Amino acid sequence: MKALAIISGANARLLSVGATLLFLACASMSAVAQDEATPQIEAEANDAAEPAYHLTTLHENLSFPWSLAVLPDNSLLVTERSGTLAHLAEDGELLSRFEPPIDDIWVDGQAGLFEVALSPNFRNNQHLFLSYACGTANANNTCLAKFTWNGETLSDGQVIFRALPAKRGSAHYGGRIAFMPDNTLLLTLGDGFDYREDAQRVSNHLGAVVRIEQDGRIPTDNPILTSRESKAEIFTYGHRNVQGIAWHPEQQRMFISEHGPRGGDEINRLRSGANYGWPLITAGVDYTGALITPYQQLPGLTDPEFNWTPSIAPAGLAIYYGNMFSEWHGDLLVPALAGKHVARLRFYRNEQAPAASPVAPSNGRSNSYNLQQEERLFTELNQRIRDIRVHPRTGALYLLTDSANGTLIKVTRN
Amino acid sequence: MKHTSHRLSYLLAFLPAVIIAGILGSVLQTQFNILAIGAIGPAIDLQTRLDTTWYDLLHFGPLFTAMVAVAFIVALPVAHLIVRIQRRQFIAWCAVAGAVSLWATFLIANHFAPMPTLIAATRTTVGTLFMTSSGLVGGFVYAVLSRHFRKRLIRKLRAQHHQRIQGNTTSAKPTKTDSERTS
Repeated sequence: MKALAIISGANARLLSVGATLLFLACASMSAVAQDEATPQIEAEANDAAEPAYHLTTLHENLSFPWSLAVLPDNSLLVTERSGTLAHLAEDGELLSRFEPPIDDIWVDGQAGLFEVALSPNFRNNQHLFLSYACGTANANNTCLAKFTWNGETLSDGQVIFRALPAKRGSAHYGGRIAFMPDNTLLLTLGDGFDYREDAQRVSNHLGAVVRIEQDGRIPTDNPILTSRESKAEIFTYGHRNVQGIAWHPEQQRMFISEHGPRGGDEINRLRSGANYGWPLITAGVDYTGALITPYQQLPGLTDPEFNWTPSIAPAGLAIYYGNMFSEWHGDLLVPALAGKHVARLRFYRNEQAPAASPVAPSNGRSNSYNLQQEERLFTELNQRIRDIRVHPRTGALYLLTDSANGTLIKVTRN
Repeated sequence: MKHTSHRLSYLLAFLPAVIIAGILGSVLQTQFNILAIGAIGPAIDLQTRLDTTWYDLLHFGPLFTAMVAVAFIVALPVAHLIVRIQRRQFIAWCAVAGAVSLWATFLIANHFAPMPTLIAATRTTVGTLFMTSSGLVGGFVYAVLSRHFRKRLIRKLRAQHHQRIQGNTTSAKPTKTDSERTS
């Protein structure tokens, strides 16, 4: 208050106006990233009903870690949104930290280096994929590049996909990668926040999940969408900001998790060519409290399999089939930023529905299964959790916390 | 006597002006959102439009009204200052102050808010123009209303003054000292 007294009356008024506006702006948002660092400690769960687990901090001081890949030698590659890759040993020790050879990476707001994903054929060809925001403040979008890993660095970089159009603003890039059994690559995208209506248009990539071959070619069996100018890479559309994607081997389906606005976070079951409705249908409202749309359902638009209102901000998705926590086979693990937990969801057979219905339901949803939330894991960390990965051999879980001083945490059975 | 009637009339005019601007801005914002949704989806019927407008009035209106209040608290004294120098066009200056302050409020809010644009209607130039017009109307209402209140207050005070004088010239009647609290 002393500082304000020194400043003249008019300036003090302006300052307090600015502060009030800042408060108003912040008060109306819920799920957009704000960093906070809390001290990391080892924690143990004491829940007798669920498997007891042990948390170990493998590495700290990661700058907004976004994604993790487990290499065949059990070392780990971790992307930091600020634009670097950290190569860690199995016990978390830092082996090297380097910038991938990307010319036009854009780091700002939600933009930066996103996902690292190994090719399904990595053991033979050493290929891996990086997704990132590319461009400048006024012309950017999501890009995908393929590299060769030689054990220490990346080489032979090749941009195989660039989302269009180049837009303004640094929000809603999507960025997660998954592979289908036929080795085609799915890349999730976002609506760029200010361009939400474009998620319904297939003449651009905004708000879509795209499917391409690993060299960037268009698969011959991509959905044919009604518009003549539709982008051939589009697999599904009508999404807001998809930051989780995983294959369910038993159901033979790809599932995604996506951010809603204020409320309306979703789990969706992908079907080729389907429209998931954003922004025409949503269970959420705008951050200001205003409605985004009058509709929550419309014929022809696919409803979510699961919905969170209020939002938890799902930033990833893993479908668990590891060896370590066999009770969780088939369960969805969803890391949450605002929720500061990992949600575990389980499929239950819908007894009322006939086993094989000849007519698909009009809302596009699966009518054989219902998803239910079983529990919220790792709330004792009190951290925004950006990603969860399952070790392909041991079944241990790896968590990344979203913070300027982010951590890599390993979850093992007691 | 003169200054009290001035200050009071401006204070009394402030809240109605802010509320009217807040309501207008909320209604406009809803129409822009409906326009955008109608462009990519089914046509919106009148009942849905009314329901949506009402919902936004209840849930977005308070936030927007607060933004208008903050903007006007800064801008209207500036308008008064200018009019004190220029001595004319009080209504025009208040309207301009209302519009410009709202435009600046959108800029500041978008700069500090974590999302690129806070209010969806201000994503486009046309939308921003219409939203700032609610500030224009609010400033106009403030100027007209404050003038109206001032005239009424002056008339009332003048009437009380005349009554006091008449009371003094008639010696038989006692002076009514309690009723003439003027300052």
